[in-house]
Amino acid sequence: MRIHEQPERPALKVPPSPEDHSLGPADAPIQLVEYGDYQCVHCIAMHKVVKEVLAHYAGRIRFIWRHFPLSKMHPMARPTAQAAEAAGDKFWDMHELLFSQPKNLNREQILEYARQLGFNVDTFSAAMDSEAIYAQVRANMAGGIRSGVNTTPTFYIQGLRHDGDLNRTSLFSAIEAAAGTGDNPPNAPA
Amino acid sequence: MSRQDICTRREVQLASVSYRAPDFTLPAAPDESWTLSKTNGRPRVLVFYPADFSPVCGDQLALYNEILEEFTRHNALLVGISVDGPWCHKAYADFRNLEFPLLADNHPKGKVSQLYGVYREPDGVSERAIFVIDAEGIIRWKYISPIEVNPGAEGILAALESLAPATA
Repeated sequence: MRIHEQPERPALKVPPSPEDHSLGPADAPIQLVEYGDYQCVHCIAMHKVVKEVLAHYAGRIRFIWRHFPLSKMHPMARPTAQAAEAAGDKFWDMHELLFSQPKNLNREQILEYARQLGFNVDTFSAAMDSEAIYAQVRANMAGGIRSGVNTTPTFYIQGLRHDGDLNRTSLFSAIEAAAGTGDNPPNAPA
Repeated sequence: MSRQDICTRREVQLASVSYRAPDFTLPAAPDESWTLSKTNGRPRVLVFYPADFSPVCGDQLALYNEILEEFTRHNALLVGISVDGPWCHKAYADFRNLEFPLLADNHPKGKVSQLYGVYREPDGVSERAIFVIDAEGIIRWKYISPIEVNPGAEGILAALESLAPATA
């Protein structure tokens, strides 16, 4: 019988690449990857924390978002992921908009965001539903499965899965522990 | 005991296991049963979990539900098993839109979990454990996760890939 062991903290199997949607310098000493779902309440909650992390470590951190839509639980998970992909160079603008009104996510709202970003709505709608865009989302998911993504959001810090709690203190502490910047995490906003 | 201690102990258990999968029949719905030996001819994935509606179980089964086509590519059947009854399973499957069977190991309670050595007697629930069984009924991979940790799918898919190449 072949025995397969499962590592305690899985490592990212798909390394960061130019294909990724990223913020911050490619050679930044802190590498943070998130697999997420725009309709997941925990992703929505952690979105604010990630923004705070990025502000605190500005210039020293590279953040990558990869899609992991749990579409059988969240009906708008896949359309939103595909909308973000279809936005192309405006990915991060769409990313912010998708997180801005999480309770009102529907196709009309997504297309309204596309209009706000200057897209022709019909062209955007077709692109969003295209096989090529779907394949990009699936590729993100496949890499996530291989890397041990087990919920959303799943974070990887310096290439290793963050298994701590999903909150501000835990994420800052884990980044400090992994990257050793010597910073004191900032106080929580009032 | 730390989480690392628990995992080390589990891996020792894992390495010592080698046997034909015990056959069993369990309810898959209030009026339907599922028998392991009747599904011979295709790989099977048995996912034992502690309880319907508990947070980690929800994440774990939701993940498998989402990637069912990855299991289908290997012609594999996936079933979840817990000590909850069939009506509870039905409510949970409806709530989560689960598209694979949940088997009720509730009468006698934990009978099949005990047969597979994954019953937590003090808690009266199944361990969070996964068995990959080949088409002939031989257990090819087993993993018992710390009960609070979602083991993900990577290990299952690696085990299935070692059985036979997936279809495109």
